Amino acid sequence: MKIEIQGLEKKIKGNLVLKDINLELTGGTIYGLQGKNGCGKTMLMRTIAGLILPTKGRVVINGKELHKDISIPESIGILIENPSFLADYSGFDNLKMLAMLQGNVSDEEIKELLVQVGLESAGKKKYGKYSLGMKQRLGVAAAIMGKPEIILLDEPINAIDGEGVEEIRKVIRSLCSDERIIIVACHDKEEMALLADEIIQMREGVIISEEIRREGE
Amino acid sequence: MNTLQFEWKRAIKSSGMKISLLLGFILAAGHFVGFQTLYRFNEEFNKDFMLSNGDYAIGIYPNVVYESFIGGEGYTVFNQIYYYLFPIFAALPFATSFFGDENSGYVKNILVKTKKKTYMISKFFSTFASGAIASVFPLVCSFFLASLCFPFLNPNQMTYQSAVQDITMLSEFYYTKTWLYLLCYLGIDMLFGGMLATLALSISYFAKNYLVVLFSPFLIYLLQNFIFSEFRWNKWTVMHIINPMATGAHENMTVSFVLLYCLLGTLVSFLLFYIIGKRREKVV
Repeated sequence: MKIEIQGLEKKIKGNLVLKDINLELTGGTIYGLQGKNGCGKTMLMRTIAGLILPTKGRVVINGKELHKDISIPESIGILIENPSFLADYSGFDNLKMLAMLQGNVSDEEIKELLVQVGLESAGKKKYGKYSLGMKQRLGVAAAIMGKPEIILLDEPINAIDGEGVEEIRKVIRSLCSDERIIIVACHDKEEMALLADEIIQMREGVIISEEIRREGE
Repeated sequence: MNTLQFEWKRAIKSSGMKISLLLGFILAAGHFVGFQTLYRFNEEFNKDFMLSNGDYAIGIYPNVVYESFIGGEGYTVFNQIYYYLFPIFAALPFATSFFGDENSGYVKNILVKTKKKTYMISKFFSTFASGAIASVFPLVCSFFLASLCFPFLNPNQMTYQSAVQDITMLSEFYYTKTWLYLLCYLGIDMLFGGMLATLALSISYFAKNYLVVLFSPFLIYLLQNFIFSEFRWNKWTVMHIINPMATGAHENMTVSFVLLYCLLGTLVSFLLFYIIGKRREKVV
């Protein structure tokens, strides 16, 4: 599994929000994206997910260029900014609806997923009645559903209690494999140190450093 | 196919669909009660007339089911309410879903699992189909209620109870195969209901408020009626085309023209939605 980002730039309303980004990401590593608000972490994730078109440069996933050879990554799960689901559906039904789009996730797998993220007792509750932490957990569940090859998590532990943070961390680490690239953006430096194998620092749309903390699996 | 199933399931199970069907039922039930009251008043009047007029009393043709439901009579307020609010019945189920998906960020969950083109086509189709069904539900409901009380006889031209005359669209069926006449109108109404619902999709790009999106088909519908009426182009307004009893405006109108009109409207709606949306990036 490999993602190559070459000369990536993104302009929004005249502002360059991503400037000459060059990265090579390989499977088996959890990448951490760090930087202040507005530094471009989320925008980079959106670009990799195919949600926005780069102004310049390209994103190549396993040899296939995004928006040229493929319109979206073939196997990806995301939690970008605030999680959003259908308010009138339960947590379980929300995941089931999204699984309908994917086509390869069974009801048992969804139930197991809810247990993994600590929502086993809230699976039948309507999403509209979820607390912020529960919404975040469901967002993580949706992102990892079907064990996609690319997982992008933007602030996955937002609003989650201490015990929940550990659960989520275990889930993320358990997904790390050669066939998978995981990118996590997180403000919490301590959490990033525990989670990420490599930390990419960003500032004003530019990558300022890449620090390998430990060898990936 | 998965995306289409996904969007269709959302449309059918939406709270908007439930509200539209409920309002439709309330209108149909209100018409049933109101019409029943009017009918009983007429019946008493006719009976008195017959009893007091001896040799002059001719047989009064009964009210038939085809003239006793919302779409078959044009002289109660319920018929007018229905055809005025028609776009709202159509838009309630799913017309605002695209606006909701974009503004809540839910669209991200969808666009990483399916191509944008597929999502947009599925959204358009589901909005059209759910709008088509919801818009005619009051008619179907009203017809069903009327069938509980009124006979399935064809209308009688000699009674002058109906506005349908020789020069109006499909009149050749009205007095002989009335069920076919009304079925054709049901089909026409479904198509226009679907078309009106889809207008809200492109409005979603410009609106900042959910209610603006919901009521935009209604406003466009009223505006068209107002402007065209000023120029005495009543036969070209959607409001008159869909009403089987607005026959004064159907003079020399043909089914093929009506279908072409609807197809054109739907195509314009689709192209606006698709072309604007294709390159648009909503950063949520």
